[in-house]
Amino acid sequence: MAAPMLRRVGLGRLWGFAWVDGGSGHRRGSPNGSTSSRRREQSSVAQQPLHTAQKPRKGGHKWAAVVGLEIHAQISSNSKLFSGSQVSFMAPPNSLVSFFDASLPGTLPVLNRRCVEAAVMTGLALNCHINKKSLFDRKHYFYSDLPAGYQITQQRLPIAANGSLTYGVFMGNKQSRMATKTVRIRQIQLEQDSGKSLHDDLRSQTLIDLNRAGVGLLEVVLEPDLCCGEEAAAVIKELQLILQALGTSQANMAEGQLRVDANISVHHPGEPLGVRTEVKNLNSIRFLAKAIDHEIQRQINELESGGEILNETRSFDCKLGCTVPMRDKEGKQDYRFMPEPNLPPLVLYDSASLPAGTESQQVINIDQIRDALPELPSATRERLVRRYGMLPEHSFTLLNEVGLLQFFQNVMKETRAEPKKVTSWVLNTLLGYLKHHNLAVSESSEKPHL
Amino acid sequence: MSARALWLAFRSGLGGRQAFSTKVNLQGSGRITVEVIEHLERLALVDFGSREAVARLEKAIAFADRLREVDTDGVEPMESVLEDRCLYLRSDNVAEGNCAEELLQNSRQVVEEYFVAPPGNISLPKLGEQESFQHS
Repeated sequence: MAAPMLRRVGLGRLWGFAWVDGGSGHRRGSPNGSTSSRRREQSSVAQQPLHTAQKPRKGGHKWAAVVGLEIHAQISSNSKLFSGSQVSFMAPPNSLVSFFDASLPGTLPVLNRRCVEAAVMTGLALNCHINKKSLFDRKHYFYSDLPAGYQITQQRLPIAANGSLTYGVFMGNKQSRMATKTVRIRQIQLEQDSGKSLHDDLRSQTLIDLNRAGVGLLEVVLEPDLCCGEEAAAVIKELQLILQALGTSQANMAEGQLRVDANISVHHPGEPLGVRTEVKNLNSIRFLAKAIDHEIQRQINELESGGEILNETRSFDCKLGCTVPMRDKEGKQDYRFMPEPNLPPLVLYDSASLPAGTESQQVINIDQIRDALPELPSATRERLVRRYGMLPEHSFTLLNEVGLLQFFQNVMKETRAEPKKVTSWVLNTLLGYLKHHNLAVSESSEKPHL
Repeated sequence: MSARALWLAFRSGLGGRQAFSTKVNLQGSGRITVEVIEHLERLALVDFGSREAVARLEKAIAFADRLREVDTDGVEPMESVLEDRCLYLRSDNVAEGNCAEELLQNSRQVVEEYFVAPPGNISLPKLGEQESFQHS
């Protein structure tokens, strides 16, 4: 599989990298030791000559970046994954905490049916294979916001695996053409969220609020098929839309309902993968793209000046606009995974294997869930293109802006004007107006009546 | 060949249906090295304060090792002793919580309904510096 070529995105400097389509199936390796033929414009001559490598490199002068994402989405449910305390964003500290969440002795986990359904729905929407039997494990580490000293997760056998997510990327600078790409999904698993820590550096203490401890999370692990910040941003946007359409998560990054960690490494195409770093603390799609691109650049700069990349965890500092090493991470962790002794395997059924005479509340039928899946964003977009004859790019814009699709459909209901005219008006005139005045669709005073 | 060696050969022959791997690798003789002790102390925060404690650990491992004498040829390993039970599914209703006062009573220190914890993780002293590990 060819490593996609690095594309310089929007940082405004003169780099000589050619943009190669990520779908090309061949690898190009330069002959070893061909320093004389190494073209100057491939290195960062634009700024500092420091970036020019001193020693000959085999495998060519182009860099390819490999980005893998791990996404944690908070499940939209009334109660937590293993306990009956409420899931809510704002509440007095420690008021939504049960004895189990506080890890008091003698408490046991009881699995929430809604969370399992949410996981199955998400797995089906992402074309995954749903494992009819999945297992729960304990992942041990010490931190004050994890009262039990371990997190219940699904490491050995998760609920869903081997799926794919198709997303659209705008081509070129004018955003006038779209290409579809696919990223593979390694697995989806159910796990517990931890509590929240508020660091009080003044008094050298940490304040712990366990309201979030035990809330159900869907961890979606993607294969490292991505090559830059723009692709990552498009993937996350599509995933958000899917989760919101399913209702399994509100996926609001600003409120912490969707958290993304990126694993990033760079290498020369044809050579083995480089050391990767993990970047955390990304709380908006914009910062996600920026952080990934900056980290790729940092690694390239580091390697080109003869340094090496440490396998570390870094945080994105939005003020500085770069990644910085995170403190408090002691090398590689040994999580001492073990089966969760208090939970039997989770068994799911389909219509064929459904046992007779069982209480319907106690069984989950995958086929039933599949039949009840709502329309996914890709299907909505296809429907818009078919019905109104609009360009795919327009359908993307309609869905990406919160409330715009609803507005458009309301207008179409009331008007006798041509769909193409309405599309053009909504996307150009209305959207332009909203952007100019920095308004959301819901805030605008425009009504669908024309 | 000892029963243990036979068993290890059997495991490697199976081709790796090893669900978990930890970093703790025991020497063939059953002695626990200083590195292993250090590693365990950091992970589990137990204190193997004395040579006797380590000897006790070695004896405990030898005791458990007798399990390996059982012939498990052709026997499928269990997932868990609960694997034949049904996993009960709870309906998504709010039935617990609202006991902040009770829970906070367990904490030595409390600030405005928050539990108070030390800042981040306190790192253990390094190998050379460690004389005895002070329990707080």
